[in-house]
Formats: sequence, C-alpha cells, structure tokens
Amino acid sequence: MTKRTPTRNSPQFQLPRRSFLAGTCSMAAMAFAPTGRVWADTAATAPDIGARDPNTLVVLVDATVENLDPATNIEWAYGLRPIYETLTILDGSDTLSVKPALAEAWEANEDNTSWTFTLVDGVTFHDGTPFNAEAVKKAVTRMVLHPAGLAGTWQLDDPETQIVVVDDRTVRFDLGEPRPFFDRQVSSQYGFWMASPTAAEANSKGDDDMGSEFLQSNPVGTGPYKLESLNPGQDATFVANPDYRGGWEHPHFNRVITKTMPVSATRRQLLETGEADMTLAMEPEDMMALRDDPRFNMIDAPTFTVQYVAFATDGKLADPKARQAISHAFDHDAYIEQVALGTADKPTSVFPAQMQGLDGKDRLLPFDLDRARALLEEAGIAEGTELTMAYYAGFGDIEGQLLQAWLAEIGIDLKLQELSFSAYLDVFFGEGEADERPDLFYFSWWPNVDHPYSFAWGLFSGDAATYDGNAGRYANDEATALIDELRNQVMTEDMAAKFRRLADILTTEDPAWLPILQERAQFVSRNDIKGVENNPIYVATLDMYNLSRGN
Amino acid sequence: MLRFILRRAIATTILIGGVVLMTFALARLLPGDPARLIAGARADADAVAAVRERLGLDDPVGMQFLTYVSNVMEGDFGRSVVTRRPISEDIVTFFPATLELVLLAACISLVLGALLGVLAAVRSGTPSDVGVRGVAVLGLSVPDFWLALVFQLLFFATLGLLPFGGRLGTGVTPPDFVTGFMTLDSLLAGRFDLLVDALKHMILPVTVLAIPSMAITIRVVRTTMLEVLSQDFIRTARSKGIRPVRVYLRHALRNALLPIVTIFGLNTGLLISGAVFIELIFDWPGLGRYTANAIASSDYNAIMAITLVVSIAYTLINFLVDLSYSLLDPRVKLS
Repeated sequence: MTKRTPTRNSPQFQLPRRSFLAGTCSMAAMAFAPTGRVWADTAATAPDIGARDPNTLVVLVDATVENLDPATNIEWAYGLRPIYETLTILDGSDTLSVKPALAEAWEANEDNTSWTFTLVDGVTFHDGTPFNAEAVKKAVTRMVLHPAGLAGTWQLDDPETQIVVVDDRTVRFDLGEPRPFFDRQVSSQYGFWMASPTAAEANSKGDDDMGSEFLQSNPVGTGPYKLESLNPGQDATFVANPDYRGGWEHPHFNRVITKTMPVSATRRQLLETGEADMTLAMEPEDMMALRDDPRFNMIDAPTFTVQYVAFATDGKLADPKARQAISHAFDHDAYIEQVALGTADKPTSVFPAQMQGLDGKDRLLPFDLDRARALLEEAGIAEGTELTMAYYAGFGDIEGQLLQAWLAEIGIDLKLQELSFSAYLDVFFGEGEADERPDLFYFSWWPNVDHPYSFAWGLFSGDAATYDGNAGRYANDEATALIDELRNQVMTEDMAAKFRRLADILTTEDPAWLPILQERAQFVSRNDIKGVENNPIYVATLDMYNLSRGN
Repeated sequence: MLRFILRRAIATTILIGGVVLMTFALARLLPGDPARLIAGARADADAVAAVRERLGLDDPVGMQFLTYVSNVMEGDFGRSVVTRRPISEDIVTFFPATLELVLLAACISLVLGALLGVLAAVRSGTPSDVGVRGVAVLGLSVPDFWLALVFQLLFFATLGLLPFGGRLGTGVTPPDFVTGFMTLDSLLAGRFDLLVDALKHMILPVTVLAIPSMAITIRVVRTTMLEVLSQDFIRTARSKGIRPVRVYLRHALRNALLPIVTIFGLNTGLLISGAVFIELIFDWPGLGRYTANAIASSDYNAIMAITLVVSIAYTLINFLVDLSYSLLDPRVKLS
C-alpha cells in the first residue's frame, strides 16, 4: 500500500473549516488515546536561543496567516485569537463550560429567549474607542449583515431590534426562541470576535465590504496583542497591547512572531537549534524524534475536525444503496494504520466521536467489497460506471487514489479531479447543475460549538444551500426534521437519542458522507515554554496571553 | 545609437504588450473564480456577484482587457487576494529582496566564472583545466534545491556557522525601507550590526544561486578564450614579448568579452525567475516566494503582475547587454 506523507495541509491551500491537520502526526499508540497527552521533561535544558530576545515567542506554522477580519475569516482563527476577544470563552480544555471574557456576567430569562450580558468596565479597542454595549451591537450587526460573513452563526434575523443597548455596559439579546446555551455559542472562534465598529465604518467601501478589506490586514480588537506586521505567506508579528484589561503582571511574552514554514523538517531544525519556540504541525518522523527529546514538550489531543468524502446526492449516487456501496469499499483500519501511520483517529460516524450526546458506537459500514458489489447492483449502477471525485491540490489525493483502487475492484471507474483552491471552492460551494459537478468531494469540517446542530445544519439539512456547506445537496426528510429538533436544545437523554438516530441515518442508512479520519492536534514546544493549553473546539489556535518562558 | 534605442523601444513595447495580452488571456482561461476567492468561501451567490460587479469581472472580456491595460499603465495591478494589499505595493516590497540576491549572485558568478574560465583555457589539458571543468560540470549537474538543502544541513544544522534563512535574525527589527536592499539600507541607517547580520544571511542563498551561473560562465569563457588564444594576434603579442598575464587579460579576455556579457545578461534574467526555489528554501521574503504563494492561491492578478515585471526586467537586461556590445567592441555597430 502506498505510504503517504501525513502532513497534507499545504500552507497555501488551506480550506474553509480548513483541515489544520496539525501535521496529523504522532504515534500509533497515541492516535487512539481518548484524551490529550503531554510528554514533558523539564529537567533537560532547552536549546540555546542565542541572541534572540527571550521575551519574544517564535511560533512556526505550516499555514499562512492572512484574513484578520472576524466577520469574514472562517478558515483559521490563529491570527484572530491574540487580537480579538469574545464575550465569553471556553474554560480550559472543557468544551461545555465558559468563563468571562469581555462580559463579566450574564444571565438568561426564564425561557432562555433573552440573554443579558454585563460588559467589563473600561475596555477599549486598539484604536482607542470604547468597548461598550453600543459597540457590541454594531460589531455583531456587522457580522450578521456582512454578505460574505457568518450571519448564520448568530441565528439573528434582525440584529437592529434583537440587540438592545440597555446601558453603556449592558447589552441584551432578544433571541426570539429559547437558546439555553447561548453563553457558550458566543464563545466560538467563528463569527463572534468583537472588532472595532468605528474602524469598520471609517474604512467601509460599501455594503458588500463593510470595512472588511481594511480589517483583513489592519485588525482592531480588544485583545492582549496588536498586530505589528503581517506578511501573508511569510510571517505575522503581534506585540503586547499595553492597555490590555488583564494587565501584564504575570509572566508573558512582549512579542509573538509567527513564521510560515511549509517544510516539517525545517520546523524541526529551527526548534532544535533554538531559532524557534513552538510548532503547531509536524510530520510523524519529526514529531517522534522531538517527543523523545527531553528538551521539548508535546501536546497530542483529539480535535472535533473530521475529513470526509461528501456524496453528491443529486446525480448518479441518488440511491442510498449506491452510497452505502462506496462506504463499504473503504478500509478505514488499513488506511489509519498503514497510510495515516496512526497519526489520526478512525472516525465512528460523520460526527466527531467525542461530541456531546454521541455514544461510542462505530457506525461506519465495514469494509466488504462483496456487499458493496451487491448494493451497487441493487442500486442499478452498472459495472464500468464512471464517477468523479474532486479535491484541491495536496488535500485528498492519497485518499482519492485509495478509493479509486478499491472502487475499481467493484467495477466503478473513479476519475480523480485535482483543482486549484479557487476552482475547488467554485465547485464545492457553487450552484452548478448536477451533471456539471463531481460525484464526490473531499473536504473537512469542525463545529463552532460542541453541539450536533452546529455541525449538522449547514452540511446535512435539506434546507441548507450548497454555499452553506451542503455540497452534496443532501436532503433526507427525517434527518432534516431531527436537525431542526436539535436546534438550540440542551443535550438531554431524549435529544441524545435523536442525535444518535441522526448519526445512524447520515452514516449508515442514507449516507451523506464517507468519513475518512478524525484529526488530532499536536503542538511541540521547548520545555521552557509554559502555559500551552488546547481546547478541541479552538482548532489550532494559541492562548498567547498565558504563554511564557519559564526557567 | 538613437535609432537603435528607438527601434528596440518599439520592439520592447510590442513584446510587453504581447505578454500583457497572454497573461490576461491565460488568467481568464484558467478554472476558478477570483470573485469567489475574494468574497470568501461561504459567501452566497449574491455576495460573489457583488464582488464580480465591483471588480468589473462581469464586463465583456474586451472591456476587461482595456480596463486592465489602462490600470497597468497607471501602475495599478489590482489587489492581491493573498496579502490583501495593492500588488504594486507588494512588488516594491518584495522585488528588491530578490534583486539583492540575484545581482550579488550574478556578479560573483561572473567574476569567479571568468577567472576560472581563463585559468582553464590558459592551462588547457593540465590538471587545473580538468579540475575547473569538473567544477563546471558539477555546478551544472547538481540541482540547486538539493544543494540548498545540503548547505543548510551542513552550515546551519550541523556546524551552526550560518543562519538557516531569512534576511535578518528572528525578531531583529530591520532598518527603515529606503532601497529595499537590506545591506544598503543597513549602511544608510548606520547600523553595521545589521549589515553583518544581513551579509551572513545572504551567504548561503547567494552561493547556491551563483554556482550554476558560474558553471555556465566557466564553460563559455573557457571555450571562447581557447578560440581567441589560437588566433594570430595573440601569437604576435606573445612574440613581441608581452607578459603572459597581460596577453591573457588585455588581449585575449577583452576579445572574448562579448559572449561573456551575453551569458551574464541571460544568467541574470534566469536567476530572477529561478530564485523561486531558493527563496522558498531559505525563507527569503522576495518575489520568488511571493510568486509561489500567488500560484498556490490562484492569485491571478499577482501572477499577471509578476509575469509582466519579470518580462520587463528580462527585456531591460538584454537591452543593456546589446548596448554594451558597442562599448566593449567598437567594431559592433548597433544600427
């Protein structure tokens, strides 16, 4: 079997809900660990940093930091997290509880249809304008109304009337429906950061821009760091915001430099020679070498990111049996062990395995080529039928070749179509007719919050458009009804049962996807770097404020 | 001379016009919608349409071309979807970094290549000749990206003598941007520490870039010198008792200069486009790395602009080479 290079996230080809595979690297034994692990040995001395400023943190990444406007950045929030803040923030590595951030207190009314947030006093944006209730209203309204934004994440129809400025420090959201975990929803990294409305308004080029072009490279938030310089594809430098509300009494870094280094071996070399302090992604051999090197610490933890092949359900694969057949024709065990080299987790369904409400049941259809052949026949798919799978350069090629080989054994001729990133986006989110589009799409996705509705609606609801993420134009009435029932519901036993039923439909009965793998987050840092923490919802970002260099 | 310059200027204008047309056509023929890329992946159809209208991408192709040409004439190449800045600004930022590398590499390869070529020619058939020819063959045979990696492994990772890459050490604040040449700007700022740091960072990429060009120069100089050295006027010079060094450098080398200058011009042009790998490997923030990012991100406006800028640079270098012929050899008449 072909061995692949497990780091497949070429920096220039990151996708929306991008696969920050974080190297998809680690050891087979670790890959199946249910929770994060840390390898550490603080007794060994980390490499000499030479003339480097010890108060500057150098982080190596394999992806490029570019769009820094929170209203339109849905790709990778790494560059947003040091600059912007949300009203609440997930507590440590817990995906279900939040702590104060820009809001110091909050409460819901009895039926959870209205939430009131009390804002922290005395906060200013980096441009000196006050962060107050009016600013929250304007910032959220901008995100909801931006045509290329993340309107859906707030679930607000009319922000002008639904967001009420009670007083300077109090803002109320009249949601129009019960939303019992709204305080958790506003902690998301996608669409919930507060950007200066003054900066956005002053630099707006019209209703289709709303200041986005400016904020993309001139971000103005309230966060602990300001952007000092940005060279997309090369580096980004963040400098401590002296007016940050939390103060700087604790051990911290004055500057954080993020360097884009596409080659894993280079990132390892720079760590080993003291030129850098951390890396967010590595290939297995480099990761293993550094894990065994006592001068470094490694965090290896599951994420909520799933890589998958989406089925176009409006073409040749309209019959669920045809999709079941393809699902039977992918050997996950062999793939994870021999191709992914154990650097990723085997998925259990289309949903992330650790999502609240899901049981441990393996819903994947087992590898069974005989069964696949029989299902194809039942679906009326003739031998020699040609299918097309699209992917963008560097992401999905190996998986496509494997699927191609296995499908060939059951008489399906799978054509692989490698596209440029923009061409792929056109096809994936585009409105083309079924016969003009591929039959299969390779992609990855993660939820905004730990809740099935956040993950499922845009991807699987019959009401979701192609540009919402429903590339396969999947529409199953029962699944759509279940998704609607899960909307904003607390995960009671009843809701969990509905969620599991949904997972059964989407994975087994009427497959929307063939899930391929579940990614893991792997950070390597020098052992004198303190405060590295990972929350699986906050994919591949760092809480830079709490990082420091120890002794 | 004036007529020659005028004729070349007209030809160059036509050539550049052709390049503009070709790059424009290619960018329009390639799959992928720039409006989608700019609007964002999750933008709905209306948002993408709005961007398309704002950028004039739904105008007839002829109109788009005219708009593009008129913008280019004003130095406006549009905005990069990667850096989200005006591309002209990006080129001003990144091109000097590449030029600094390329010019130094070209000069080093010229001087060393000429010296070694002369040495091989005057000692033809001796071990020195064989050795120099071996160096030339090796320099041409070894891929530069491989050499770059080996040099990094040896001089950075193993010996720790030279930095891995970049233009300055990590976290070091660069001097104010004046010329874009880190060495010159460091000098202008009176920062000799930065100058030393910049030079240390240039050693590996310049060496790797210079080696193949030097190898070509060696071969050309050797062949040309051998040809010149067999001519009657050299025999005459020798018989007049002129010192050998003077014969080689004043008589022979001078007559062998035309092909050397031609090779220098071609090499410099090739180095600009060949710097992509080297800049990627050595983390050099120049036009090469910018180009790689633009290609990877389907940043068509940037690709078109870079193609145009490199074409102009290449044309200009060749024009200067042509001009230099008449200066080097009075027998050459430019008209």
